[in-house]
Amino acid sequence: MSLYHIDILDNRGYNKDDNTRYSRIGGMAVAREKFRTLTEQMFYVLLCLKEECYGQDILDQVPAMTENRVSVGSGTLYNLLEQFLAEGFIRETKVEGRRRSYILTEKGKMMLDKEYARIIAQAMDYRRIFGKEEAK
Amino acid sequence: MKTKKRRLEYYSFYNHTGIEQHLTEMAKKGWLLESISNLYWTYRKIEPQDIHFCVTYYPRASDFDPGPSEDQQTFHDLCAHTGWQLASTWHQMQVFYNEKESPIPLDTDPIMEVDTLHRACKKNFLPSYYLLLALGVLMGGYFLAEIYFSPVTLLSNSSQMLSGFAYLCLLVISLTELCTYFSWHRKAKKAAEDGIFVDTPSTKLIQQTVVIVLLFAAAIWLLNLFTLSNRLLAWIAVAMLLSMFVIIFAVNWIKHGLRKLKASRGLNRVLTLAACFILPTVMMGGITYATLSGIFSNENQTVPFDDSVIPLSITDFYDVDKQKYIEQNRNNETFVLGQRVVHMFGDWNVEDFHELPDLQYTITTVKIPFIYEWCKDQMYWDLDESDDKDIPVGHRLVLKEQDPTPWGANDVYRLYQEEGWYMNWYLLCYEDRIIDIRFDWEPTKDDMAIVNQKLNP
Repeated sequence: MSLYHIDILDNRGYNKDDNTRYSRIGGMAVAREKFRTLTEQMFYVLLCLKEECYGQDILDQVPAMTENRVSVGSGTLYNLLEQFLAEGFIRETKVEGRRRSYILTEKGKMMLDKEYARIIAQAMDYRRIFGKEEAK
Repeated sequence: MKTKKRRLEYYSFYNHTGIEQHLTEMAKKGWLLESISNLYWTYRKIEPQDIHFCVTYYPRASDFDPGPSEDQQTFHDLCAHTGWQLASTWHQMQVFYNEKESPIPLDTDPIMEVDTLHRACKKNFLPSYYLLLALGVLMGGYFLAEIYFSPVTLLSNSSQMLSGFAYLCLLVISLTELCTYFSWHRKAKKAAEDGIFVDTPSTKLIQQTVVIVLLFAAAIWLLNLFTLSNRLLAWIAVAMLLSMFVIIFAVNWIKHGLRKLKASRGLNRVLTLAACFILPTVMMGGITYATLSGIFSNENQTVPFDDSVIPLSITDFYDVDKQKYIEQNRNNETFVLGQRVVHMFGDWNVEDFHELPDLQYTITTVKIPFIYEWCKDQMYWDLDESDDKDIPVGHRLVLKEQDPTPWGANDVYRLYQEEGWYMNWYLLCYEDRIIDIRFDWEPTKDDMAIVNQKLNP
């Protein structure tokens, strides 16, 4: 796996040092097994949908929520919403013309909880190895 | 001032990074993409500027759609929210541009990008190229087999050579496209797991080279047709070539027209496909009708029974009534090889036609010395059946060497039946020509001298 830091990528995800475009999610792009774990983009899209919102709103909310650390492209969001709908992680609440709003389902909440537990477990493992001081 | 520009572009359907770079360069030169069709791309004049382009794919779209579906428009709206304006669509390809300085790309997840592109490719690009590859293998393979097994027939026919060569080019292009795509897909899929986007490869150079080579081959073909072949055949071939372009334009026009008329995807597909079958049939029918009714021909091109237009006639041997004869005279010639087939036989409408002697010969003129032996071999083994295991021993026709002196030839072979009886069928090998000649009588030494004088001037 390539090692890189999010700070050296420009808005389009290019690292000028190696002239390569990376996913702007700061780690492994997507789980090798679909939805076994969530990527950061998936995690934040689901998180936004705790409250009912439109697709366009998610595009604004994710960067705001993460202080521009994570952003989701329109194409990627469209595909994610389709896949989440198909998996039953979210449901459609309103259709106003071409604007559609969505909300998280119980299944989606369980998925988020599972991912949160995984992240916490990782953090705890880190603390156990390096201790509380260093973890700060 | 010119406000529109049409260009033939050599970008593969999947090569989104190449297209993005190209469109950015065009915008810097003051040309913004307006539309993409199967034939050319159209640009409109703008102020030269730095614009970002992003090519993404919508797998559910079709080129037969009257317009973007509701879902597709929802997708376009999402893109517009981040500043991406739709420039054009082509099949599943969606081309957007963004005038912001540093916009967020449309695809921020490499795995999803590779997956979406692959799903889009499976709709049109891959099935089309599988079909083209099958056609290329079948027809290109047939062309290569023809070169190996029947070089004389093939190399003397410029139209067959051009079409065979075109099928080989099709094989090269389809194989290149498919190999390049799958090689990229494998790499991109693996790299995507590490969060890396892999640029799509370009086959532009190979495509351009093949097009240039094909145009060159077509120019030689035309030159060959009008300098060495029968003018009638030349015009028919040109008419057929032009009709192909007319068909391509007409089919695209029908598809585009139906889209404008808001015909449904299904109806548009059915009618466009119907046009693909009906138009070539009508065109070919028209050309055949024009040929048969004499529109393409003129007085100088018609060949009635006239022994002055053939090098050797039955009248050189017998004092016969020419009115009682039918003559077949076919001439194919290229810069490599020429083949003239002449057959004179009694008209079946004449009462005593079975008593009229036949004369049949094929003159193969080899213009490139190094293929002489190759052609001779084919002509020899076309007659000689000694290797044919399907024919019982004793019944095969075999060639036996004869004294070439009376014929003035280098080598002469005569066809015998293995049991012993002979035929008046000879293969005569001269310096640059091989003649397959069949008499209805046993030729005398004088007849042989006439053949030498007339066919080996």
